[in-house]
Amino acid sequence: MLETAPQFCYRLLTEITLQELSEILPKSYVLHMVTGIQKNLTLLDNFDWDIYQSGLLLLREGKNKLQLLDASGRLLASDCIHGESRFWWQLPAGDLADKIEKLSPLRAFMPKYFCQLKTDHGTILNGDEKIVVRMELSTVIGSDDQKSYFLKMSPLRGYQKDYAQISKCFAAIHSAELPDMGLRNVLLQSGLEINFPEKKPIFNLAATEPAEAAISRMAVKMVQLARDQEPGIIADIDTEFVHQYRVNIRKTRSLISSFKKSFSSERYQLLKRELKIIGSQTNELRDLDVFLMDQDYYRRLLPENLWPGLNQIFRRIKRRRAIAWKKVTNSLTGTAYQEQIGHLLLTLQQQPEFVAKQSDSGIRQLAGRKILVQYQQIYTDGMAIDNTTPDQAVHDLRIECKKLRYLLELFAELFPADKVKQLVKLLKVLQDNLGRFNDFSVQREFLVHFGQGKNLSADQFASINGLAAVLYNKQVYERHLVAENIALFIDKSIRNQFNHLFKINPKKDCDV
Amino acid sequence: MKILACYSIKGGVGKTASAVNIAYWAAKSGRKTLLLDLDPQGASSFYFRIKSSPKKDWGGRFFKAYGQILKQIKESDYDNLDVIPGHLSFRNFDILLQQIGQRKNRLRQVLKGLKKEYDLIILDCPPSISQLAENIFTAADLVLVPVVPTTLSERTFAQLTTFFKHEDYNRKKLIPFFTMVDRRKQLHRQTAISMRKHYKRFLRNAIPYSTDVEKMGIHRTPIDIFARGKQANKAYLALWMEIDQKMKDS
Repeated sequence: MLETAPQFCYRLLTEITLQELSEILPKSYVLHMVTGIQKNLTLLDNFDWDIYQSGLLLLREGKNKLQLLDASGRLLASDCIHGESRFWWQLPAGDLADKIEKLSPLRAFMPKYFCQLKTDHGTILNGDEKIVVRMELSTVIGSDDQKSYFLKMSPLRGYQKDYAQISKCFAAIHSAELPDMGLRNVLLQSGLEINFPEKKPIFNLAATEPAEAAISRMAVKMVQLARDQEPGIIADIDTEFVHQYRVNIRKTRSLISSFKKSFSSERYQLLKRELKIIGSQTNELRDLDVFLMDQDYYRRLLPENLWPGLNQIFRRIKRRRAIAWKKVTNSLTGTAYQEQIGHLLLTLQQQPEFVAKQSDSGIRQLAGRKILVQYQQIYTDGMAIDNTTPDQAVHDLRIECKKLRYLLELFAELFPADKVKQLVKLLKVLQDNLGRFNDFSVQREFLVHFGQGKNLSADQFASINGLAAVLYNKQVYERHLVAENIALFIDKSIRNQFNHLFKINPKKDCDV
Repeated sequence: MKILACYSIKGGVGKTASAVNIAYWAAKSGRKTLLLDLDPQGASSFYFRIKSSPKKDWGGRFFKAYGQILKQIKESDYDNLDVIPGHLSFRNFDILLQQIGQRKNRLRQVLKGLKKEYDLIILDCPPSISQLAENIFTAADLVLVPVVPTTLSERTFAQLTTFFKHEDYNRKKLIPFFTMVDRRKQLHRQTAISMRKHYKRFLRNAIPYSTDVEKMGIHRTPIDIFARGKQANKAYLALWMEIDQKMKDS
């Protein structure tokens, strides 16, 4: 096999001019450089760094050129943008928008790092004026005006001896070798800092940690994760900040409620009350966000003649959403909330009281037991549901499934990860079905309620009624699938998997 | 991988200029291309400013192992184009091939080892009808034959076709094309017309007589680098495109 031509990359620790480079070369070689253009680059990514984590870079060059590149700097897609573009749907339709949709379907991309990059290209010629080495000299000026210099040398195939001679002379340059000079590496070397937010918290639970201490610790971490979303909600960057805020608060509530017997009654009541208030303040904003996010979907459900009415409805909802967001922002920045959440964290961080029945039970055993009890609850409730059972029972089952999902995810680190993952996957099938059933119902109710408002035009009424009818049909369809999906999830083989994975150690039983 | 030979029994007909410019356009159109300069004079290597190996007898190892060839590959100044420069020791290829004993397919075997690396190998051949030439006829998918439209060239091309017939080589491989055509000369015009009538496989595109082709020796680059808009450059591009189509059809 023909060997791939090697590349030698260095970070230069001091500035070097082209003249100096020329002078370093052995006399029989000549350096030809072509000065590159300086580019102003802004690295964009969403809150979770999803684009970076996919091994790609989204860069804005100047004001209007948006490019998606791989780690080496190879262009994958580009487009011209005008005005503010923070979401894939605000980009011109095309390859770039399609690719960003996959990488960041909901989240806004925001500036993360700014730099100026200039790359000069050069060649080193031998006595026959034949190129023997290609060169790239890059200068990066970071946001803090700090300059970094990079040199890449690529000897041409068959000219390794020339390169050896040249590189001997270059050894005098104060430099550090780099594994590659891909754009990603260059930016990292020039001051780009990546801070991935913790998506799924790791609690570092010890199997025998007393339940009260463990649950309190977990709750603190999740409340803090929720708080990390607050600046994004206040800046109204994208809808995921509110969503993630709510998910974390909801999980905390569910956790505290599932382990209420680990807390004294007073402490439990206090935590429950405060979490409920904190969680509910974003309810309206989230409902409106969900409805607005699905605009295109709703439009597709209706014939075109009903679109004008629907568009008017969306405009009204947007106005309501702006008011709801303002309310949430005022609340999050207000002293009442600050005191409330401060108090909540203080309560959770207090020394455990160890007065409740399960305060000092080992967390692994207790969590396993709770998971089994929760699965049993779904089994019993699920067995009672058929195609004629009132819808309320299906809604209740959805809540129970959600509790089980939270328990599985929160305590996954205490059990074999791959097996828990598999059970979550199975549960997700049922949850998706129940979720859609619930969503159609909630959306329909939302519309009916909206239809009872004042000053609605005939067009708006027609759209609301049309949409409500379509959503009802979809809800009925999902309802038909429920019994079948329940049966799959409470099947004997899955029951056995749950029992096997979370069974209680008989040596140290605990009372649930 | 395809193998193209640029071959003529007669010297001075534009073999090397054609091999260099065809290799350049092939590489520029995205083909990973290797130009193998089989001529001991090393003229095509000279056009790419590539020196031959300082080892005196490397040609003696040419047919022995594929690894020997890899060591001699040099990257040109142009993307996708590598060169194995010619070497004085290549003059002994006939003796070497005689010693090896495998008379006709040794070159093909050696080049087969490069099929993962290259899409196209172009052989710039020395002007003789020898054992090496027979290896070239076996190895090549197409044998491009530059023909100056003169009586003497017509005669040598006829000799080549007769040789192919007698030795039972596939005559469809022979793809002649006119070079150094001077349309002002009646002899050129008449010979071209008569040869096209006689040999149907002549390429449509011809290379005109041009000082730009001669200037390649001064610039030591393909014509496109120093005479982009000129007729000869356009003719080589058109010729390459026609050859490319022929390869796809073959």
